[in-house]
Amino acid sequence: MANPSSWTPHVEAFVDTSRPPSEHVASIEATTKLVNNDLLSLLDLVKEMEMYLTTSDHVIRSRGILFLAEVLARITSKPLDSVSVSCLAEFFTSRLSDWQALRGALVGCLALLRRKGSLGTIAISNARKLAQSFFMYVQVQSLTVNDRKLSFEVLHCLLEEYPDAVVVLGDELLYGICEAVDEEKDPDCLMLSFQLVEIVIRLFPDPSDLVTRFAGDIFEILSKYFPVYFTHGGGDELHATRDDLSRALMNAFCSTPNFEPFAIPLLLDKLSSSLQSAKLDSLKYLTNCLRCYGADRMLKHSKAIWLNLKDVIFSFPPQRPLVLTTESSQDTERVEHQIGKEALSCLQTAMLCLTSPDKDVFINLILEDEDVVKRFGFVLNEGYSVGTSVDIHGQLNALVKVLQTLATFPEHYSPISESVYHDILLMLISVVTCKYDDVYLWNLSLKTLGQIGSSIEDIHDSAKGTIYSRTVVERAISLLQVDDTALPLSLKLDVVSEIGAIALDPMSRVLKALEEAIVFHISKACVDGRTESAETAICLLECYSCKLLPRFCTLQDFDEVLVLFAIRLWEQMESLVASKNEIKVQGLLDSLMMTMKLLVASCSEEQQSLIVKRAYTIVSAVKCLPLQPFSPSSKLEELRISPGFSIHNWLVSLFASVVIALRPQTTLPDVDILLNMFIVFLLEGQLPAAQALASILNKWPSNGNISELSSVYTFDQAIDLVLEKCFTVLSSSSFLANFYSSNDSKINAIAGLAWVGKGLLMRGHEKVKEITMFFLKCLLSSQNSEIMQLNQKELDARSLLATSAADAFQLIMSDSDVCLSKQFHATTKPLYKQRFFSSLIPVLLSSVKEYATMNTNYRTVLYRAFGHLISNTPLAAVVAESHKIVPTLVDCLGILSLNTQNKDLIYSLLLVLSGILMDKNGKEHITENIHLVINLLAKLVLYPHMMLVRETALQCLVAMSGLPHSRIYPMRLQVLRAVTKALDDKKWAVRQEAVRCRQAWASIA
Amino acid sequence: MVAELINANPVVYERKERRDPEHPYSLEQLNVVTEDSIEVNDEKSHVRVTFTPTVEHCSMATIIGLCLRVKLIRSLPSRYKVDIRIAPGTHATEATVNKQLNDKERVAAALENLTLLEVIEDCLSPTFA
Repeated sequence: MANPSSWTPHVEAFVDTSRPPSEHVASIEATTKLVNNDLLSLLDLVKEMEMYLTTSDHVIRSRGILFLAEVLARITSKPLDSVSVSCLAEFFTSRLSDWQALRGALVGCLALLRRKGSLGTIAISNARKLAQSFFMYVQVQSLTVNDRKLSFEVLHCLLEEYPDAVVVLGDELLYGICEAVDEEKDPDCLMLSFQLVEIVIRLFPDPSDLVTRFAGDIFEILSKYFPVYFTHGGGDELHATRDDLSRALMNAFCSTPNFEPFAIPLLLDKLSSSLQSAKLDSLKYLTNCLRCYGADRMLKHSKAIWLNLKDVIFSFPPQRPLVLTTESSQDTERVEHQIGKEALSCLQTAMLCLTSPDKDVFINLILEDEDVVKRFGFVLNEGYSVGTSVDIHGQLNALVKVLQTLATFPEHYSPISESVYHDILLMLISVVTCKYDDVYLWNLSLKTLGQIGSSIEDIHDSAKGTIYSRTVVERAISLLQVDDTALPLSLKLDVVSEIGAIALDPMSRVLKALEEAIVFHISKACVDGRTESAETAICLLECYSCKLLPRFCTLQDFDEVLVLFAIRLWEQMESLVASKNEIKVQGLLDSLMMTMKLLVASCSEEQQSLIVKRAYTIVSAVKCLPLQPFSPSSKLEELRISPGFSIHNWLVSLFASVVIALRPQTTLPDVDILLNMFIVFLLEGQLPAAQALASILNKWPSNGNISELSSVYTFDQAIDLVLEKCFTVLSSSSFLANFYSSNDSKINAIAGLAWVGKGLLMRGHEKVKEITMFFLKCLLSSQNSEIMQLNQKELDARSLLATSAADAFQLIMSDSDVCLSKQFHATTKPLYKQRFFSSLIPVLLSSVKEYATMNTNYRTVLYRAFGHLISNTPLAAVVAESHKIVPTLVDCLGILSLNTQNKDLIYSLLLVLSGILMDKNGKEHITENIHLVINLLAKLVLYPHMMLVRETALQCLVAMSGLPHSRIYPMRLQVLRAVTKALDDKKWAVRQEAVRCRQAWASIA
Repeated sequence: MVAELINANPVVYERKERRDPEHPYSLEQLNVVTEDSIEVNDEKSHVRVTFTPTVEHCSMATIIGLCLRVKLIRSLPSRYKVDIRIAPGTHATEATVNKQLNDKERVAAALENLTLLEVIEDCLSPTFA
């Protein structure tokens, strides 16, 4: 045990207020150490300090008590026996009445109350006495800030740790707390006092007379702080912020439903405050109170809440365009945005909470509200000025969102009755059908209808589904049937596609209605020759095939509906053939063909054969079509068909579209006759026929099981026949002689052959070589030595033929979406483009070399073919061959750039060049030919016909500035000269690129 | 449409990938040069830039002016005459600096000073990225 003389100096040091604070702390620390190390017992300390604790000199007394309390507060982890704790508790409790020495008493009480379980805590009875003494003697609000804070902490501890001890105090407790927190101003103390109120109210189980009695008084104290407003201490993290305070106060507000009669009027009142933060807080509080107070209490406020919320929602739309200039306006904007958002979430909470079993008070309020109707009506009937449209858009958005939220509840939990649901749908659909001049509202309503529709789980078997299909789907479909509504056709089609997309049943109904409309308009167009009907039919067909069909196929595979429609279209054609009417609108045929292709492509094999059979019967019934089997002996003249029967062209084209879209396994009737017919039409320049032929050859079964396809030919025979016929006709002198008769059909015939070649190439058949060789021959035919003897007309014909042959390579290599695509079930061998490229490139390169001395006019076509080949091959394959092709590519670009019509080709080739430039090996090959490349790019930088070419050429030059310095340095001046001219380009993008390029090349010096 | 086409160009694609997102404050951000303070007369091939130094005794005014001039010389077609001035009343030695900046020979001499040229290149390099 330590000698008293060893620690009494510490007490003396602490009591002496003239010594510096550091010495005070040191003395406490030293004594604490003694106690903690059991060198000094607490009881001895108290005994020795008696004089200090009881003297009548209040300065010394208060310092003494504080010393003891501070020591006590520092030994929280040292176990104390119950006797000492009880003694100390009694001592400090009694000292609470000693206002001059209150600090020590509070610190001591707090230290005791905070002791944890096994280390010795205050008994319940002591705690209760402490509380009573506290309420009797301590006038919290007359103390300094620090003491107030300590007092609140004592109360906090009492309520949290010893609820049993204080709850029996009842009135006394509540009254005491009210008195303690009333008029508090310090933020930190306020935080504690708000929490105190919350905790003390929670101590009493809910229906409690006591709380009911005190609710008014307590709320009066709390209400003074709402809305929380203080601007003090921004950066100090230790102190409470406005948000913390506001949250604590909100929790206090929500602590008991008994506050409802006082809180709600206050919140609604502050909602209309001009202070935005007050508005925001009110909304937040209201949202929480709605949840905490319960529907029973809140229902009577429904109307007031709705009216106030409505005002806020209408004046603070949640969406606002961000056109901001200064920071402060940005801040207000943000707050306004928050208010809008908070108001909507409050509205949502209100809708969820304010329901009673018998009726949906709140929702009815919204729906019956005249303002909502007026707002809608305002937009519906009056329109509005552009200036305010942003606000109105926000409001409308909010309104429609609300309607959507209401209408998309799952049926069992739906807050609204069926008639209200019906009303909502009716309101929206009437906007959609009548109010189309307000694009924003119209789109919004249509989208909402679509979303409401998609939320219905079962459109057949539910009350909502029935209402929806009766109100919305039927209305939408009727739009197609009635011709005289003012709604423009494109919008009508938007409506049906949106509504149709929601589920299978509406989709089938929409398709059916659309089908009727299409058939009606086609017959109108063809029989009565009405152009506007044809245009309508084109729109309808486009909507059917592009918007609805893809969606329908995701809902259901291989539906009968499609087959029936296809057959119906054919029957329509049949009746047209019978009526012998001329059809004038070419666009209609194109749309019909596309629709037919898509229809057939999405059918199964059996369904396809059905359609083919029906179509074939109709086609073969037409007398003047060349429908005899194809034979090698038949003369060219026999193949000729008389021109000028457009309906027959229609039939063949439409039949060709069916064939194009077939699956490989689908059987074709009378293949030999079909082949013949398509060849004849191909040679007449009918591209659809050529595509059909290509499609047949592309999909011809490769397993040799021919019997089901054709009893006459094997595949190879068929190809041979087709090619032979084509070659004979296309290379005959009469064909050439007529070639330049300004007739597209000859050019189309060449393109048709290219289609056949594409079909063969895609399945990897070697006969494609023959076609390629034919085209090459055409290319070079204009360059033979005998041309000297030809007259000008023949020369022109030859050069046109050569150009068509060159373009054939583009057709063969490029992807198409009209035929031979994946969608139309083409047989595609992997890497077929790469294969074709590598087989053809040596031939082309050697031809280029051979004709290097010729006039550029003749070389142009050769280069055109070369260009098409390169630009359509996957870049990786080209880059791998870059060592061979770079010089030719550069030469090719140089020659093609002399002619305006090659600009797209030049651009794609330039992209190939830049691709090579990005490859490691490619760079080397560019470097080897650096003179050529730079010469070319320096020219293309000024290419007048296409901005993208100039820009890309500059980009290539920038990339080239990274090539080995010794190779590029000699070119520097040439590049800079060219680029300087580009600085004056008329396009901004080019000038910008030129600046970069100039900088890049100027800095390599 | 055009943007897509440009992105199809491998050269552009690579460069975008390599671009460094960090750069210091530019003259625009500091409001030293604004779009309003630049007058361009395309017909007469004349450009006048009026810039505002951040403080009255800004020691960088000459360097800023020189940078502006070099940037314009390098970016504009040679037909343009470039005139660079300090906004009236915003700098202590306004007249001297203006004279320096618009004297061809002085500018040429300044650009032959390697240290100075390096500083200017450093300033301009982000603008050519």
